[in-house]
Amino acid sequence: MGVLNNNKESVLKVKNLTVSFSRYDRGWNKTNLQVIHSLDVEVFSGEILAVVGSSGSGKSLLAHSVLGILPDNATITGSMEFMGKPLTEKDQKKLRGEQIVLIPQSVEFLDPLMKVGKQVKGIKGTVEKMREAFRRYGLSENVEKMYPFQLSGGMARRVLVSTAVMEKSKLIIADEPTPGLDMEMAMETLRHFRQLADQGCGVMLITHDIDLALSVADRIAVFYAGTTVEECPAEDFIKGKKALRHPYSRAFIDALPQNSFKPIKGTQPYAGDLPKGCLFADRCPLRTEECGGKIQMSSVRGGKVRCVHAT
Amino acid sequence: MQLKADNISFRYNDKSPWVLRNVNFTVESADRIALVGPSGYGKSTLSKILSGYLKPTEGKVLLNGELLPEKGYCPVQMVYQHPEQAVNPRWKMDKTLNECWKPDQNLLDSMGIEKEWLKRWPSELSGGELQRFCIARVLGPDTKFLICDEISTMLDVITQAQIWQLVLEISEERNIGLVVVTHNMALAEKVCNKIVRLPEISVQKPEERISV
Repeated sequence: MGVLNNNKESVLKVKNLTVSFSRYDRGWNKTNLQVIHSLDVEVFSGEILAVVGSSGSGKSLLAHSVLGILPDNATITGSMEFMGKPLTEKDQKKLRGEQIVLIPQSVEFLDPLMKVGKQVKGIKGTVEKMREAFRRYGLSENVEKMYPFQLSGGMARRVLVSTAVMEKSKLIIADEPTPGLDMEMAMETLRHFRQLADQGCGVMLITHDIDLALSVADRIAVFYAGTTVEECPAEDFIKGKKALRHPYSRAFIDALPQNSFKPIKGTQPYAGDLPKGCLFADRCPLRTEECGGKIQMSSVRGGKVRCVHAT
Repeated sequence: MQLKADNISFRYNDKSPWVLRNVNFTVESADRIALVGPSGYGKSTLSKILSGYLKPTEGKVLLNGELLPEKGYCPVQMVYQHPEQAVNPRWKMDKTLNECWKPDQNLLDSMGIEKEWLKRWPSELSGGELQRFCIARVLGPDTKFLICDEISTMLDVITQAQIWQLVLEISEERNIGLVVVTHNMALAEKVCNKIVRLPEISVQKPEERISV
């Protein structure tokens, strides 16, 4: 864990990504709601990047923009590179499901009228491959013939995860693979991701269960209100508050039940009504006048942070 | 006050396997009970039975020795895991909030619900913000017990801590008994004063269910 990045290939590089939705306001007036702003993130081969952050900070939207499965009223700007080449719409269509796979957030992404075995097999897969994937995740052969509604929460998760190992993919994006699983099964799922990463795959793990994620992840990216506020090695989170750079990440650590369980006040700003300058300023203990300006990502102590006060 | 599950068994129909079998379980007003157990042991089913959304096949739920009322405001209220599925998407938030009682401004302030949110649609609020509404609307003066079924798993840790602080404060102030379903043991230890493991109080195990 935590090996230097320079001898690894960059699998996915997202730079300055913005995502906005156009929607109808009153009558025929259309407004644009920007939900992701100047977001940077990079995933390397052989590593797990855990993406954590507040609910509604755009974690799932990032996953969907990489795969190109956002709804029609979404507009994307910025650049995305996959294996060093720009990721165009055409490439996304070709690569998704093969080189880039998504483990979706909920069972609702499965077809309710199709047996799960057939769904996991897909168009290109074979029955043998599907059985092998099922065996790997401890799903017995009669699960193949079940419909999604017959699966328990834990089984459904494992079915979703097994779709990801059908192809030899380069990038796996897992969107909240653990909620609803008990401790043991959640750890088991994460260990599978570690295995996949060790085989050379890049894994982007979107999660709220930071304590579980820490045990397998190499790097952590912290999202807040649609932008990255900090990117750092996972060890910094394990070391605790002092090793972190952004006040939001520190507040995050404080709020964990195993730590002091003390929340900070306030809520994340609404995407339609964002403050100028630092998005976290309203809730920040370090706030000064400088926080009202535009804030760039800067490198501090081997990590990246979007805060003028970071040392 | 005392909420009692008296020898409860549950199955969906005559042919289906038992989900819960002979569960006995008591909550007092001062209790904050964590209900834990692996997935598939019927934690959510038990929550729904305790709050009157499901009728037990055998046994009964007693509140101070009497059955739960069939009409009017139920003194046992439940908060769900997915707030976005627990509110009407075609109602603005103020209608949802006043669905069963009229929360006063004090409560809204202490819950951190902002005035301007009341005019929004559910799709314009985040999960944590919606969950506050879902909690505020069940805290009517007649609520004596609150069943929380994984109310914070989909939320980030800061919102999680905010919500729990609120629930704890209010339950203490009004002497409301809590039943908390969770997988997070650290959370259970921080929030609750008693831990009940469902596999120990229900005879039925999922493996036996499949063989039925």
